[in-house]
Amino acid sequence: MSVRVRIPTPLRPHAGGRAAVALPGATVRAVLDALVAEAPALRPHLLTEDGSLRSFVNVYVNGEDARARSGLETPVAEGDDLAIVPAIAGGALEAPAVDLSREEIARYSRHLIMPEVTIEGQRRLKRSSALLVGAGGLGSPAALYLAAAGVGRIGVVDFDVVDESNLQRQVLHDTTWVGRPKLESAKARLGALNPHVHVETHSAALTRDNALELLAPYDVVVDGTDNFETRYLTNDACFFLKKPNVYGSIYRFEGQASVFWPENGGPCYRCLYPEPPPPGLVPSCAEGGVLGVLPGVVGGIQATEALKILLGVGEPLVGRLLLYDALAMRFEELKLRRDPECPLCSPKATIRELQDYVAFCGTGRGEDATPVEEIGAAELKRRLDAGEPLEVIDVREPHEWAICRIPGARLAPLGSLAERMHELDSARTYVLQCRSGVRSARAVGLLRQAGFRRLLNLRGGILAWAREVDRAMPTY
Amino acid sequence: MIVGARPLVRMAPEAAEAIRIEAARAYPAEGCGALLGPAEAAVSEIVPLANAEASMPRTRFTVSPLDYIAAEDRADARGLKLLGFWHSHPDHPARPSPTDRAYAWPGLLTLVIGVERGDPGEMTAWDVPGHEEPFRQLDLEIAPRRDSEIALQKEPT
Repeated sequence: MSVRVRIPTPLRPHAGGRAAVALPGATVRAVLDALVAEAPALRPHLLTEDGSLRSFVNVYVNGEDARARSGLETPVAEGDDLAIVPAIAGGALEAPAVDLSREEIARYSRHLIMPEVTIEGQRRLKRSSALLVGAGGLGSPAALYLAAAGVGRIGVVDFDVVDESNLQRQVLHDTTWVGRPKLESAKARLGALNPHVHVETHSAALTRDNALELLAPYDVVVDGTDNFETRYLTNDACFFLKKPNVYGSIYRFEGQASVFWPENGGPCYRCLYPEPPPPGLVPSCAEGGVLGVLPGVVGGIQATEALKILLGVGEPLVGRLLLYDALAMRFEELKLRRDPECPLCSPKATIRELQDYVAFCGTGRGEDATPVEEIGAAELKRRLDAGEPLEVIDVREPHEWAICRIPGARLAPLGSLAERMHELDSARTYVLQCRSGVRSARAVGLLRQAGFRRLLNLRGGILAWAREVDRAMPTY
Repeated sequence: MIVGARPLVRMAPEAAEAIRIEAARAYPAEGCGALLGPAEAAVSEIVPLANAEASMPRTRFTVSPLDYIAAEDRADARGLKLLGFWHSHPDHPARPSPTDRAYAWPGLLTLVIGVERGDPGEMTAWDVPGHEEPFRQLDLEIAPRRDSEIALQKEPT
């Protein structure tokens, strides 16, 4: 039984100048052993001291990578063609020489044995860097998996403190960290998980003034933001810096993920959503809720995409929008095309620099010129106690109402308000209230359009009431 | 093998021009290809190859193993030798990087061409005498092939 072994040009001088030899053996290892027995000078070029294949050498059996099969144990048969192929690569990037310590090799061993990673890919991960915009629901699992995988430098941008209501899904933080900055718990947790990675914390809100500077030093950006201003800002900054933007979003039971990377031929976030929805139309997780494990799935997909990009393997989620429905447990995929009229990434682009995203998303003072008249929680309590003829209308959903309510309030969910206006008396004064004051401000706008004039918005919603009036009230 | 201080690599003008065209075409990504010739240190033609680098093609290049096999087959079939590989450094100097060194093979030339804002520029040639040794620069002479000299260079080392 013999196999034809192709000797690559640079190794031919060590094999008597031959381009190919026929050798016996039932596995790649047996054939290579026969080869180095015949031409011992080849051994140091092919095998390491412990007998494994050198990382800069590929073996192809009939045009297939042996590492993708069983490595040196890949079976071979009579007449097979076994090609020894030197790895040819390089490039201008001044990569600092990194190597893996014994501890790192042990830690990453399940990566090292995969043909798509190998020790070379693991070194590459160590040389690479990722920035997480937000250390919340999506940023938590993404950060944990990127750190565990050995991405050498991980940046985290956040300015928030850990709140009890975060712990249901933001697995980077635990109970002992409530009330302290998320960045501190992120640094402690990631450092404990993998001391071989360098965690850089940026305590700031991402703004048009700092975004380019913050994103520039990283290879890939993971968008874990929870608002449209930061999402458009992250998208635009990644475009200008030519960086892949690994996008994810979550709401209740539904998630989305994609990789926006015009540099690699794909669309950007603005190709998908040229404009943000009107303020208040799309509720945030704080307003609408989210299944705690949902960001675990979507953030995990984001970490997967970031790792693939950094390793340079597989097919990135570019030009595709992955939709995940946890209730139905279904994944769907939509094809995304570049918008030939995209104001950012098309040849007709009009956006040349970062914008005013608060104005763009209409989340500042609101689009209605007349300011919404507000009332504070303590003031409302005082006036109710004094017997003033105020009625509180709670525009939240029934399941929120079931958690807590202001005594005497009437439930009229925002979606049903238009149909139920006839129940209201335009001569009376109504205080509109929701959880935090966003939906109730919309309700004020709706009622105002219908001709109601004596309207007040409870500033800070029922959360403010719980803080200032009834500290025993449960919040969510 | 090439011996002596600053050994010479000769390259046919057609091959040099082909590298310049391919490097400009690949810009802003790195371009790459194989160097073929009738003898050591005498490049007569190139084989353009796709840069298989998926994630960072502007600062990295990779030749797929199947492309390597095809280029070597082509050389063998025509009685030529696979002498090495060229690649471009878009907006970077025509000097090998530490990454280039990590992948360099003794017995294969490394030829680097700088491309500045899309315009091909300086071209330099290098090799490594051993797996652990640093790059040494070679003199690169772009001149029509003179068979008598190639015969001289073919002397075994």
